[in-house]
Amino acid sequence: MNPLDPPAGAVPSAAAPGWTAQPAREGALPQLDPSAARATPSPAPPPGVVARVAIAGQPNVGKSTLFARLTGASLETGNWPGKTVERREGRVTSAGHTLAVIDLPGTYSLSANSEEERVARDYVLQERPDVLALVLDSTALERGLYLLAEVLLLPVPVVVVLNRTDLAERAGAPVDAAALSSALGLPVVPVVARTGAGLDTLAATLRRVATQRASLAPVVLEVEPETAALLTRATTLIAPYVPAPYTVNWVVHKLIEGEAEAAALVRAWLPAGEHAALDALLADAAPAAMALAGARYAWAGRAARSATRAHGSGDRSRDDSATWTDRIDRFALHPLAGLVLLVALSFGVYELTLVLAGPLQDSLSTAMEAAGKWCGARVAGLGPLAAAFVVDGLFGSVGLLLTFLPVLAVFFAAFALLEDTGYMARAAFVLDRALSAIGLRGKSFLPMFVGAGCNVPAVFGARVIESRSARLLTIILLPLVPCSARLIVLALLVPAFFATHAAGVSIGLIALNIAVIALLGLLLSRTMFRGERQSFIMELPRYSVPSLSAVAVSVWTKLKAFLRDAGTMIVVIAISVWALSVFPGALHGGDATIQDSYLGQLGRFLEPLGAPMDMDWRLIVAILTGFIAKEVVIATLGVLYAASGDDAIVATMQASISPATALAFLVITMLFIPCVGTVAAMRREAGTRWTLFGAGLLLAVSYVFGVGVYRLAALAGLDHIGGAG
Amino acid sequence: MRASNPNQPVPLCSVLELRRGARAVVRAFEGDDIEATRALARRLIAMGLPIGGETEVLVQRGRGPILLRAREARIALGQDEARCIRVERVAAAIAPRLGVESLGQ
Repeated sequence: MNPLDPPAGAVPSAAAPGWTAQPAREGALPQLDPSAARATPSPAPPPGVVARVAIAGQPNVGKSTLFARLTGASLETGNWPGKTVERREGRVTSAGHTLAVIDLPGTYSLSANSEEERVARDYVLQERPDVLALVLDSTALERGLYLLAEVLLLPVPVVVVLNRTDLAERAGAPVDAAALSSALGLPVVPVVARTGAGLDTLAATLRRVATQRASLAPVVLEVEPETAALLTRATTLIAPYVPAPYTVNWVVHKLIEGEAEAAALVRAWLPAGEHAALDALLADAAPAAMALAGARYAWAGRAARSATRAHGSGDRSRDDSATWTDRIDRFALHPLAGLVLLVALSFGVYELTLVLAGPLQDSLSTAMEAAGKWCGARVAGLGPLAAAFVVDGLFGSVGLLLTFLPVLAVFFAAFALLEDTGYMARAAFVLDRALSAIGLRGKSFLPMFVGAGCNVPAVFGARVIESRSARLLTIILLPLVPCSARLIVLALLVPAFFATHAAGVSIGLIALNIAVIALLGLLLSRTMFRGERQSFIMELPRYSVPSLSAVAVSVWTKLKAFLRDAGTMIVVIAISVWALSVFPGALHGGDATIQDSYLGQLGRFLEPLGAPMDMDWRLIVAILTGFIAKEVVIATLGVLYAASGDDAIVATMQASISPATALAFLVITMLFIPCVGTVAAMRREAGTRWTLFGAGLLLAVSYVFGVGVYRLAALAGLDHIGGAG
Repeated sequence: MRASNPNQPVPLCSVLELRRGARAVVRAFEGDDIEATRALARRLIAMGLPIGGETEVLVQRGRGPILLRAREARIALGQDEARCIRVERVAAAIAPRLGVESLGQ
């Protein structure tokens, strides 16, 4: 395989302009010649992969399902280098040949509108895949063909994948793949990704085109004479200076479209003497940009009509599912009914988590504990420190990591299901107005929904937000969404200190978190993120039955990503905190108690900070260990108050701290710096500096609110031990 | 890309001024920030709202986001984005489905 030097003749050259003044000369298109396959046999396949295939397509065309079906178990995920865009790769075998398939992010166009679009087009320009499969939705043909018009500006052979042909047929508007193929001059393969129909043909076609590199068809756009003149002017100006891997055609189109990145590139290529000409060109380009887009749609419309004309279907016929979508939307998008539906679905998901993930989590941690004890007994001969390391350090932290998984799996599955049905975009729509008041937009709801289960996947989920500033703001605010682990701490401690007002206090604490989200959102969006105009543009896809295989793939790949990206850091930090809690006592072979450990010393050192809230070092240490995971706070309290069992912890604490202190403790636990898993996720998604900023911000906020709440409670006379509210 | 008779300018309005169920043809994208408006136009065009394209207002309530039908897609837009889309109204005579649409009011 040597994909980096394609035959020069395969690239649409600058000599063949991609446009024509009206009328069109469509007959000049080179056609894919099937006999070429026999004339030039593909080279002997090297061991392993024969060619690289890139799959592209617009969002909501069923690309993920197609990719999951096509590559099956060989699917691997990662990130695009230096980007927060997920990269999915896999393999497909056809007639003994293996193709490496890469899933490009879903994009509406190939401008630099978003990181996804940049990733997709840079991959094609710089990595030069052997063939690009463009997935189109048969029920939204024109829009898909618009993207094709852009893709054909890139130097890559294209195979058109016509997905959802079954839906188009059912809607009475079937697409004639052969007619489309001859209209486009490209191979067109009809498939139904959900059932897997047509995928064998697709694999064979991809292999054939990849090894021949034959299927290239320049788009011939019909444009008005002044636009044609402008295109010619741009081509003449820049053609001598465009370096590989860029193509003159692509650069000309992006320049006329007014894309700032293309303009900056060209400015760097051109000698200074040509800059004035470039500026004049750009000044004239604005109307031409619209004309160019119009011409692309006209081209797409002509191709779409030639593919549907054969069946004489009315061009405006709407399918049944569209009507269904309208009916459901009348309810789901209603400001009140939609909100009720949203709340009901959220509660449903939490119930599901409790029912499915809870028992699994318990049995996993019991199993890990038993396994740790068994292994501890094996190494007991090496001394108590080795045994303690194995039981508490190693198995304790790996067990902690594993107990994350059931909750994550259920939440990932629920999210993938709701997203695959098309509902999630509706939830964002319903909440857009409320969220825009605090500097966010509707899409930020999607990660926040996940955050109520666990903050860790929520941070990864913030990727759906296109604008970098809105994504950063969402990631900074996400740890304030009270996750299920913090609710466990609430459930134990609140009734103990506020027997009569337990529900009110719990709701108040959760409301405080939401209020702090709103407050920080308001503040940050008007200071650090000021001037960042957050836009809300989102397609609401047609409702559809979710594909279970795509959901399964999504859950599996996200769990793998979690273990890979956050797992190591969780285990390392959990072991470190364990070490801090047993050393230096364990070194002297004595009883390794947390009281005299480095952690205990740190707690004592920080005690002056707790003084304004009447907090002693034990509560401080408990808050600090909450960094491992919020539920660890309870276990630490048990150790520090030398009590075993939840009831005993509560009784001992009641005897030694006042309700006001308990309240301050709860406030800080709810608002404190995120747990290690979340920090690991934040670091990967937002970088170290933003993570430190976010953690520092929450540290300050939790302290200020802790002291503030203590003062208020003291005013109410709650600062005496034993005085319950 | 103007209306058929350039001597008689067609009155344009923002898509935001249309009521639910109304149909219109996109004629221009206008906004204070020229760079941002061009970027917005590029995105909306790629999503199915080119100049000359027909659209229908599916949801329009108060100050919340609006929902447009554009070709085969449904596009949700914030008010600021919707304000930039200048449209020409289309008479409802060719839209028998309008009666059904307004039932939800």
